[in-house]
Amino acid sequence: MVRPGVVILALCVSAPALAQDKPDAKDSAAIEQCVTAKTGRHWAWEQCIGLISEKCSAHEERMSPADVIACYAREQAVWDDILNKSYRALMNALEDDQKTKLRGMQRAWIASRDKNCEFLYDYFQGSMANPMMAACQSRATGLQALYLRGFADDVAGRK
Amino acid sequence: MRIALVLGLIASLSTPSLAQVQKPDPRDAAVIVQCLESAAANGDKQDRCIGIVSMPCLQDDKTNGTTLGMETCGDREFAVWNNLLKRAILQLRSELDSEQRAKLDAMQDAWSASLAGSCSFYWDYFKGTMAGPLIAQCMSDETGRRVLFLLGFLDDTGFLDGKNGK
Repeated sequence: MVRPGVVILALCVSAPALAQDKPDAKDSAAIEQCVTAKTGRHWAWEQCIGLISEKCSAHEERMSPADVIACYAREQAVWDDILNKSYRALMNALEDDQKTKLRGMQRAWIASRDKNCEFLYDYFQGSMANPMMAACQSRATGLQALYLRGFADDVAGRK
Repeated sequence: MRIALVLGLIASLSTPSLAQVQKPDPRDAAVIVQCLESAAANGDKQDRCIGIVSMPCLQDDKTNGTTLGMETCGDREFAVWNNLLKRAILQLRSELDSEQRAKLDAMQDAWSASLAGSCSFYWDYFKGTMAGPLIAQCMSDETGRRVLFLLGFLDDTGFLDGKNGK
């Protein structure tokens, strides 16, 4: 049974294995601009998640699943880039015990993200699960990228 | 994610801990459930309901300027989401076949491990009592996101109808 609400939620939400290697420079700039604008007292970085993919897949009903998946992969490439840069910046700045914790945390997050997004397939058991999994992966990567970015910005601010 | 905001609000130090599991305040539960229902009815993202109790609590100077007070804001909202989470898992488990149930349980275990690692990292990073409010906020936000993820599998079953997370 397909529940429309699940589709809507999953597509509003977001996966890294499908991401393209290098993010589009314009996409990266748009996300950075959003993050900057959402910084301050009314902190709302999360609102930047979906900025690229939602516009790209706005007419999803008329798009092929592959094209919808490509939209999420496009945005995920940006988040993967932010995540990797933030992770590296932290690794370069932390003490040994903190590095161990960071590594463990990141591994736990990857395991959780994979199981979460795979569950969409387990639940829907059909090809329609693929765009949902791409959305799940993209959103999850965005959330983790922003989480690590918070620490990376703090590290940069201490220098 | 709200690290800078919460850091900016910290005025003094207190003892940090992972969010205390307390009984949700019915008023807090009602605020969150009404927000979820309203967002669903209007086609808005339910993400906006995350922080709807803790952020006003932090910003309306109800914390007495202490980290303990700030932790309380996160703990209050966490209590509501945690209650909703437990109910959502129970309901979803009851609707799944045994194979899917096993996947759900494995997924939930992985999420719990990730949650613990992510939120306790604030302590590992700051190595001080100022991590307390950040941990409380992390627990609340992440549990809220978890509820929204699971609600996506439940939202045509009237999960929120007539219930307020008590």
